[in-house]
Amino acid sequence: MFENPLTAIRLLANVALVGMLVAFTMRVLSGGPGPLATWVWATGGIAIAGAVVQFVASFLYSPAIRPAWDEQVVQTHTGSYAFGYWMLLLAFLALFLATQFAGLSTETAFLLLAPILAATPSIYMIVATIRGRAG
Amino acid sequence: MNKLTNRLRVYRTAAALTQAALAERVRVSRKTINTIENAIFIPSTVLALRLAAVFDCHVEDIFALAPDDPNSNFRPNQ
Repeated sequence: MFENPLTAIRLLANVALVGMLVAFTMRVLSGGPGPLATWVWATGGIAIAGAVVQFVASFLYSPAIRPAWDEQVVQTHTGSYAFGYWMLLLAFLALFLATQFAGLSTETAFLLLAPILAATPSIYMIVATIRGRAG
Repeated sequence: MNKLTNRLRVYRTAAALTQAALAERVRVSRKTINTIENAIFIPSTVLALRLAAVFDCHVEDIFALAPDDPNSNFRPNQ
């Protein structure tokens, strides 16, 4: 399915991050289990580890990974950030309304912004990869 | 409506190249060649020039503006 090692690693990193962010969101909304700070560190750790693994793979498999960053992938990658921007903007508005009219605490709303910020570009890249538009 | 039509698949099959072989020649992924052939992805001028160089033809031989574009250079009988 994936001819390029970096494409596969990137997909796995994005899936792991989105999975962790979904778990983090559920933790924020449910109030348990475990200390919130641990979840924040774990989520951040997954994100950074994914980036480091991709960086290392770029050296290990260079120049085989070059097509994984061809112009279509770069365009898709740019699109993922634009998508993330608009999703975050909409989420900010929705969470603000929730704090005003649905009893959501501002602390919870703040914590929910992080998964949306981090997950939406990854979700975009996952879908693009499956559709053959990201390497 | 697609803005660009192309004959990349025609040129590629005439040259007996697979998508993967062509992708390697122009330094992109096979999937990028596939999306170009299916008019999903519009390549940059640089990539279009590289593709034309592989087939030793002009860019306009492979790519043309869609027929409904007022500036179209599309020639269906060519």
